[in-house]
Amino acid sequence: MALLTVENLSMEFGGIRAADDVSFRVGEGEIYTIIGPNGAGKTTIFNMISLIYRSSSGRIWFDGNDLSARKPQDLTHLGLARTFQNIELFEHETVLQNLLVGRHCHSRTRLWQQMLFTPATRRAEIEHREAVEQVIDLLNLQHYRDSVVGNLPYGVQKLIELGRALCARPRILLLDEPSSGLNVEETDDLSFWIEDIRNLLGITVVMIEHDMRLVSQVSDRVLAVSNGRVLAEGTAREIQENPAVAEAYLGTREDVA
Amino acid sequence: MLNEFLQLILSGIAIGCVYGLVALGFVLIYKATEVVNFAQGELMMFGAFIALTMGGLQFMPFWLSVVLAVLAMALIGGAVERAVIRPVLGQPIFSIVMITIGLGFFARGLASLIPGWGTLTHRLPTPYADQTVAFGELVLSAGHLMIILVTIVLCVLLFAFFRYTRMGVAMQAISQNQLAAHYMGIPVARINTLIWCISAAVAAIAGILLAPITFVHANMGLIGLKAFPAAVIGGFGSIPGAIVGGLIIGIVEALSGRYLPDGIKDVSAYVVLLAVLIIRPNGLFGEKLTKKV
Amino acid sequence: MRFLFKTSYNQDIRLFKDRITMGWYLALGVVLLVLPLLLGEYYLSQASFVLIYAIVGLGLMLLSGFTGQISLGHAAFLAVGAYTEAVLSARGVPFVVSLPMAMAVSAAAGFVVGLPALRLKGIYLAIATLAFGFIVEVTLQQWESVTGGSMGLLLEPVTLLGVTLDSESGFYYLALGLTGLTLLILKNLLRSPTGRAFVAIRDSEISARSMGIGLARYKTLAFVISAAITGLAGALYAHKLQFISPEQFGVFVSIELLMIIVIGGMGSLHGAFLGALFMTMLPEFIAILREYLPSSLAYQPGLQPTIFGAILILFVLLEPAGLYGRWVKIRTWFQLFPLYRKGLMKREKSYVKSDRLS
Repeated sequence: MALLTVENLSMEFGGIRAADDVSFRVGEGEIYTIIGPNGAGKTTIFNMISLIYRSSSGRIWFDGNDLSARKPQDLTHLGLARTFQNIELFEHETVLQNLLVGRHCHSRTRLWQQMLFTPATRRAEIEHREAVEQVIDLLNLQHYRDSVVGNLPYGVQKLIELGRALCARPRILLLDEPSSGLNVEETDDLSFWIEDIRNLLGITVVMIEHDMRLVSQVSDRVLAVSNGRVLAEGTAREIQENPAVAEAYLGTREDVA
Repeated sequence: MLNEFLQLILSGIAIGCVYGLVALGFVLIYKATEVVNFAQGELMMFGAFIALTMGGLQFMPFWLSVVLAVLAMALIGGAVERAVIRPVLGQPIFSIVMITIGLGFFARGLASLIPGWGTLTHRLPTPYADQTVAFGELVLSAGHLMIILVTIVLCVLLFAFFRYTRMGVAMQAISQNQLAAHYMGIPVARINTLIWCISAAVAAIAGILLAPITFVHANMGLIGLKAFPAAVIGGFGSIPGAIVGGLIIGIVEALSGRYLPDGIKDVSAYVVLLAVLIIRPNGLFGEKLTKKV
Repeated sequence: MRFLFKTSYNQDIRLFKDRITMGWYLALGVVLLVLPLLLGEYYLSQASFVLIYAIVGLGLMLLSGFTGQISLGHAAFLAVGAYTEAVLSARGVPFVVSLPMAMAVSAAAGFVVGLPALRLKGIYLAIATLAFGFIVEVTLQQWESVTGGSMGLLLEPVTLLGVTLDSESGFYYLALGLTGLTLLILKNLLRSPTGRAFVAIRDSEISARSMGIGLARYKTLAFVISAAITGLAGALYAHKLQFISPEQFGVFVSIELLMIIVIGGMGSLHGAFLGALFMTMLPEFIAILREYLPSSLAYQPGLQPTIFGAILILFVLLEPAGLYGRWVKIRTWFQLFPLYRKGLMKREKSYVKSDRLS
């Protein structure tokens, strides 16, 4: 059974169909990439899966749960975490605080316990800290632990956003253009991290990407979309050789002539 | 009976127009810079006072004192923007709210300290005060009629300005996307100042129109607090909405003053405000505020 | 510059950064405890007011400074707490019961405001809270059977466990204890998931939600806790003055409460205390100022709002981080001497950050 199933998902804004009858499945442990030219509807698909938009039609199944019955804040509890294309971090707080928020879905203490800071709360806090430290170690964020996020370079902020999602210990991670704004070295590091996330942490990764090098390096399967519709699905190689995909990106002979 | 009712409605409309004009001032500034000017009522009060002072000078015809007051307020509005508002753009909305609140306090206190203005209530001598106009069986005070007429004229002028002049279109551009407007060569900072000038001028006109009804005193600007519900009900980004909101508040107040128990009148504007916000959290004509991620 | 070498997670979690900081605060605590021996009656009374305003400041700081919800009508919660306490203690309810009840009623008011506030953003929320403040003020005036209308209500001094606290120092210790308790609870909240959730909502609602923080739940919670704390302050306020009337809880009072946190420094608990101190001392300074001004100016009622307004404007213009922010800069200057750079704390100036649909 696929971990994430998207069935006939459509999104209409006014008269515009941002997504039209999109369907795909992601199996557990896969690295699945969605590609397409700008405006193809990729982020719209993510926004529908993470319930920021309510789809006009279609269904989403995650781990056996029908997501249309859920609210956005339930997702991390179910095991689905995402990052955003334009960084949505808590810019006045330290890296540590940002990452600790990622642990929110694992918080077991009640309000009164927190107000009185009972030993149970203290134990829970240390647990959260330990979990966050593991992510810091994985992503090499040690220097930045106590820095205020708003002052950090863009590449580091992207990493923190990834880290925060990891702190939620999700089963599936949705990454929206993780390499945008990163240079070549940083993108290479990113490809290793994405593989580590899948191999070491057992997390399924679904990502939106433009960098074809990164896509072919890490992806198991690729979905190509254009104008809100699915064009093709296959391995990175198959997609790159698919004429319909080339046409969507580059145009046809007639366009050039 | 019906006459009394219509009379009430008309006076409600007249006051509503004043609320609408003040709300219009808010909305102009808000549309361009997302600044909410809590001192708008005080700008109105200053306008009325300046007209009063000018009018007190020898050989100063009424219409001239009005023109001078409006011009003076335009200058003051622009100066306030340059000195106080421009440096804080980019700060969180809370800070900007607090600074305009501070401005309001300061202006109100200052007005009562200025010799000749002080804490007294003054009468603004207007040529049409105490006159009435009869429409069949209805009798309207000239003051009320003036308010309605001037509001209509002002709205038409502003509409034409925003639609048909280059400056107006530039202002619309700024209200949608400051950065893009800047890149297109629009002098954003200068136009922000100009918007404050216009807004202050509108406030001055509102003050002069209001003066025959409430008289001129340092606490006149507190009416500005009533104009907030008007602007919000109309939806904060909408200019026609501001006027409509003002009219709604004016009429509701007039009716509740007459038909509901004591003290409800003062609060009716806010009750209507909360009721509207519960049904439509962005006001009647407001825009949807969602962030695109 | 003092460097902190951390060897355990507890060092990050605990209340005081290190032994030295704890030492300073302990010293402060000792001074506060012996204050009645150092100050005369009048200044001790002012100190009690500082504590009361500090409690309000803490409540408002939680809501606006930490959760980012603007509240322009906060005096309404103060009023609810004060009036509930007044009504209950007039009926003979003992303080240990009436105080929690005043807080509970205030908390309920916070719930009433918080729930619809969920759908309102930014300026709409601000104006809705303003409207709420007005409505409460007018209700207090009109509901004469309960509130006594403009005639107000009288209160007796607090009787706690059989002891009547009718001296300045007695009341001071009560206020000090309650302030300390409030501070402790808030500090605990802020180093727990709930506190982090509040701050997350302030900085980015969308990602807070995507990390599992229910906006409805936490925003309402922030309003409820903030209102409860403010209600506590209201109850104390009522007993301090022994007389309350609707004029004491109008919109200008709400603005003065906001000034506490803006001048003190938004987003820090210290700010609440510094702001409370400033706002309590300000009328004193104005009184002293009056003696140096020509009599035409000095006795005008308009002097106070003019000065309040000017101070508010100057603080937002020149020191948006408030008194606490300025203190941090000064302290850092000393710590980094002579390497302090002017741009260390400079905020990036941006074009108007739009809340609207892009």
